[in-house]
Amino acid sequence: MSESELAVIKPEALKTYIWLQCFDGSIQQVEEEVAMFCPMICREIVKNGTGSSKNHAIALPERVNPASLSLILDYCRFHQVPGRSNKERKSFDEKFVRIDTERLCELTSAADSLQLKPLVDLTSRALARIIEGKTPEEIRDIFHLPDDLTEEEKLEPLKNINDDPRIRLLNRLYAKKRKELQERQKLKDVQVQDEQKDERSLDELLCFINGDGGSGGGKGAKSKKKNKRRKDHAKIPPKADSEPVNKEGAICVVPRKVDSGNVSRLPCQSPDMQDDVEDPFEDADLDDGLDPAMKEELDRVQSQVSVKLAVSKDGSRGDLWTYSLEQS
Amino acid sequence: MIPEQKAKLCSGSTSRADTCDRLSDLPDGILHVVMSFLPARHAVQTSVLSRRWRNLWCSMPSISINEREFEVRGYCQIQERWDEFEDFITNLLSYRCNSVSLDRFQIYAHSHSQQTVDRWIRHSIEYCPTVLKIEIPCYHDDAPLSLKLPYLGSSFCRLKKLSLSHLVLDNHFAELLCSGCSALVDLELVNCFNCFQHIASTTLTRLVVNTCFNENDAVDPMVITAPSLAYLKLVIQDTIYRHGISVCNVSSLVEASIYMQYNEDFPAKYQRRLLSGLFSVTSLELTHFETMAMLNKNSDGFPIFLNMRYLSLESCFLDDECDLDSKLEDLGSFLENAPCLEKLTLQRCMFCVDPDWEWDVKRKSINLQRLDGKTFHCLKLQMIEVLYEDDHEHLLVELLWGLARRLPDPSIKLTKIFR
Repeated sequence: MSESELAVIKPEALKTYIWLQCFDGSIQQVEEEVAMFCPMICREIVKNGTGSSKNHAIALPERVNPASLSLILDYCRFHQVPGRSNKERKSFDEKFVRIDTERLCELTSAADSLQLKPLVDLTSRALARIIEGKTPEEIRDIFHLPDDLTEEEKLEPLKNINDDPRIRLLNRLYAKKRKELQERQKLKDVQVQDEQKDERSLDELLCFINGDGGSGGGKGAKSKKKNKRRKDHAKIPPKADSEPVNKEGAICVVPRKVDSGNVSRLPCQSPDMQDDVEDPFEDADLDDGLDPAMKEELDRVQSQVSVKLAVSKDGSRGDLWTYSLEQS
Repeated sequence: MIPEQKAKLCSGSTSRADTCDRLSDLPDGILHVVMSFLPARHAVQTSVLSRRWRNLWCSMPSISINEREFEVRGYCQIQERWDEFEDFITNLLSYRCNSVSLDRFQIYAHSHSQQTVDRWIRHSIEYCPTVLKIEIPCYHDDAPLSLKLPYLGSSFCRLKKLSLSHLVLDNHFAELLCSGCSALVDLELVNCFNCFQHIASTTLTRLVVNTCFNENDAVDPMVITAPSLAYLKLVIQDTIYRHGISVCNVSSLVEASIYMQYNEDFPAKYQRRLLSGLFSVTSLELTHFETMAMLNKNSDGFPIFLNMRYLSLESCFLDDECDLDSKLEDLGSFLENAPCLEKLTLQRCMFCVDPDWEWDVKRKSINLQRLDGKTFHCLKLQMIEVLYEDDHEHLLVELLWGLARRLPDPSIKLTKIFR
């Protein structure tokens, strides 16, 4: 070319362009510095020397369709400029992911195949934001997911896919516990209707709790282990159940509806034990399925019950006396 | 955009059938990344979306446990919810696929049941995570911290980023940092009880020690040795460092930010020593440093900040006994130690302004005296930015006047900050 012709050429033409070819055959060119922002493209250029001409265009992976590619290039074009502030980049990113979910998914896929990690993170986060807080039906609706789980499968408790026997046992025990809870709930519902107002004074109750034995009393327990054992001997359907006493929202204690075995006991010694309590001191905890998590609970519930009693000393909450003591 | 591209966009992406499920087409790895931004409960709940999603949660490499999902709030209130939360997490950790390593484990839970929480943390550490973030706040502010970081030494080998909040850390932890965490790059300690006196790590590049409680009767200073350290942030409040903190061998430090709540808890000579250790920084932020710590009067080896380009001082030079003029002189002489300084930011320096106090000084005129003191020339200093909250005109004007006389080279910018 003559000099005058050279002078006419616009400066942009002197930029190096890289040629990219999508899976569907379409070829396009893009400025080199923009393309180099993608690790995968960068590697192709550097290692294999492709992309310098139309005939040797870089073959992009299948998952990169033309629409996603142009979005990706826009992203690269913006971010490869070094002088931008963090605020500018963030604001660009926020606007960038405001596209419909279908294109967002395709974009994520394309970014992943080009190994553009910041963009993968950005789009994944956007997808997570869409998913978050929605019900499964809504999510299925938005993303057109097939509803191909049976009703049973949906309600099934989390399965142990490794089929660990210990976990199977745990599962069984949890199921058993669930059933028991349901039964107690039913009993409680029945009982609530005809529960008498508790007329006994505080002292009386303390007396009998402290081991005067007698009927309809709670059993003092020597140790928490005993409590757990009792669960397995569920001969004693509990009549009084722990009921959430949070009605006034004041003293806070809400012992959970637990098994008979975990019913809180006042930490006092009682010589009086029911005869079906075995000697608990050498029991194997694991067998109960009541892992030490239950122990924690017991500790808490125990301490909380004593708090409850303390508060009610003024008698003002007599009608709310539902103490979680087991009755025979 | 090149015209060809534009054309493609318009005509391209033909309307596919609306029932196309693009989300499930994504590979497992991507779906895991999406799930990693969801808290644990929600991530597991994705298992009911469709068959594809059914067991994805089992192998997700990132678990984020947050008790807020279960609305466990306050010790007094909701015991049931804690139990539910506890059940869920225990199940989650048990049922997870054992062969999948854990990349990121994050937990936020009150120490409601310490044993359980400790067990979860141990369980997760055994999977050798790369990012670990533990935050176990207490219900009451003055409740003693009691949860310790479990020491499963070899499991920390992959750890790159560690963030601990409200834990008790002792010498074992310091040893762990030194020898057990061979890949650790980012360490953040917030509100911890530090019973150790040295932080030594060859790989650490970012260190934040924020409001940690230091042992009161420590005999030695806290020493930080991290040759690769690039960013350091220390927030010293509600605790006393009787022998100060010193940094050793941090020649690659680029940015440092030291915040002190009260000078009394950290003696001036140790402030000075700390400051000398930061000589290689490019950007420095100091809050509540004593003037004595910044003076070169004794000239016993106060280093030159050769690389420092940005300096930000907050609540410095506030001695009531000195007048503005001598304060400016002190500032000037400090700046002389930073020959490459380009920008200086002053906030709440020189004069103490209590926003609640109404300064009832009504002045008709302000007398700006000609200052005959030394002028300081910082050749590269281009800008001094003064951040102010309230327009106590006379004080601000006096400061500006003083600055302009003493440091005549840079331009001065006033920025009002709104709280």
